[in-house]
Amino acid sequence: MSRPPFAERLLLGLLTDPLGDAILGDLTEEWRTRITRDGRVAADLWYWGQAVRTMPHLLRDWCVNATRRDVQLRLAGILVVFGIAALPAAAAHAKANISLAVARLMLGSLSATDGGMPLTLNWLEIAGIPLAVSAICALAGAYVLGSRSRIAPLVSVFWLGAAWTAVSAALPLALRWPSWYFVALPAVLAVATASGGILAMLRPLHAASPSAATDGPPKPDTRSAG
Amino acid sequence: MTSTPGLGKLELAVLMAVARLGDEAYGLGIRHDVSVQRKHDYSVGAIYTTLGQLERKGLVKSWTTEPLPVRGGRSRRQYEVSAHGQRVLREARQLAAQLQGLVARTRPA
Repeated sequence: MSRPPFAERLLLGLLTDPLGDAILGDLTEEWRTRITRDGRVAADLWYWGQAVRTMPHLLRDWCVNATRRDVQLRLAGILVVFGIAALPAAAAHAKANISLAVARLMLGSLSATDGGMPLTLNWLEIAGIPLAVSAICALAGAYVLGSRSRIAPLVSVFWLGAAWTAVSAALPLALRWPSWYFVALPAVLAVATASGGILAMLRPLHAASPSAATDGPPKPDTRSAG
Repeated sequence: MTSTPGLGKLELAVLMAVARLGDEAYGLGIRHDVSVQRKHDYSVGAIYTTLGQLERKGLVKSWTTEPLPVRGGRSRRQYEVSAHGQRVLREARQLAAQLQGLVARTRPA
C-alpha cells in the first residue's frame, strides 16, 4: 500500500532532509489512519490536499530563508536567462528590421502602402518563432534542472520560471513589440517552465533520487542546537 | 512587562501547543492541537514552516527520532520549548491575564 506517488514526488521536489522526512512521515502516518477510518479514496484526496496546500509554504520558506550564496547563484542564473531570452527575440527583431529596410530600398520612392503593397511587419510571424524557441528552451531547461538538482529541484525550477517570466516581461517593451507579445511571452514561459519541472518529477521512480523511491534509510538520532 | 515582539498568532499557538503536548510534540500532534484550538484546518506545511520560524528565533529546539514503521520508515521531528521559549510563554500569559483584567474593568454596566 503506497501513498499517492505523484503527490509525494511533488513534495519531494520541494523538501530537504531532515524536514522532508518529518513532513512525509507525518503525512504517511495520518494517511494510514484515514485509510482505516475513511477509506482509500478519502485518504488519497486528503493526502493530495495536504500536498497542494503545503507546497506554497515550502516555496515561501525557501525564498524567505535563502542564504546570500543562494541569492547570488539565483541572480547569476537570472543574468544567464536574460542572455538566453534576449537572443531569439533580438535576432528576430533585427531580421525584421533588415527585411523592412531592404524592401524599402528596393521599392525606392514608394511609400509604405503604395501599390497595394503594405510594408508593415507581420508580428505574429516574427514573434511566433522566438515565442516557440523560448518555450522549448524553458521546457528543456526546467526539465534538466528538475532532473539534475539533488536538493529540492522544484525550488530551482520555480526560480528559473520566475527569472524567465520577469525578464521576458521587460523584453518586448524594450524592443517595442506588440502588446499581445508582452503578455504571451511571460505566460508561455511560465507554463513551459512549470511543465518542464512537472515532467522531471514524473520520471520513473528508479531514475530519481534513492530517497524518492524508498521510505528512506534509517537515520541516527540528531539533536539540533535550537 | 515585555510583550512578545515579532511573534504572530499562529507562532504563539504553535509554541503553546509544543509546551502543552510534551512528548507528543511532533508535527502531526501539533497540527491537530493547533487546528482544534484555532478552529481551522492547518496544513502540515504551515505548521512546519511556523516551527522552523520558532526554531530560528530560539524558542523551540528539535531532534529527529529513529525511523518508525507506522511512518513508512521515516523518522519523527520532535520539538520542545527552549528556556527562552518558556520565558516568552510566561510573558504572553501575563499579558493575556492583564488584558483580561482590563477588559473586565472597562465592561459597560
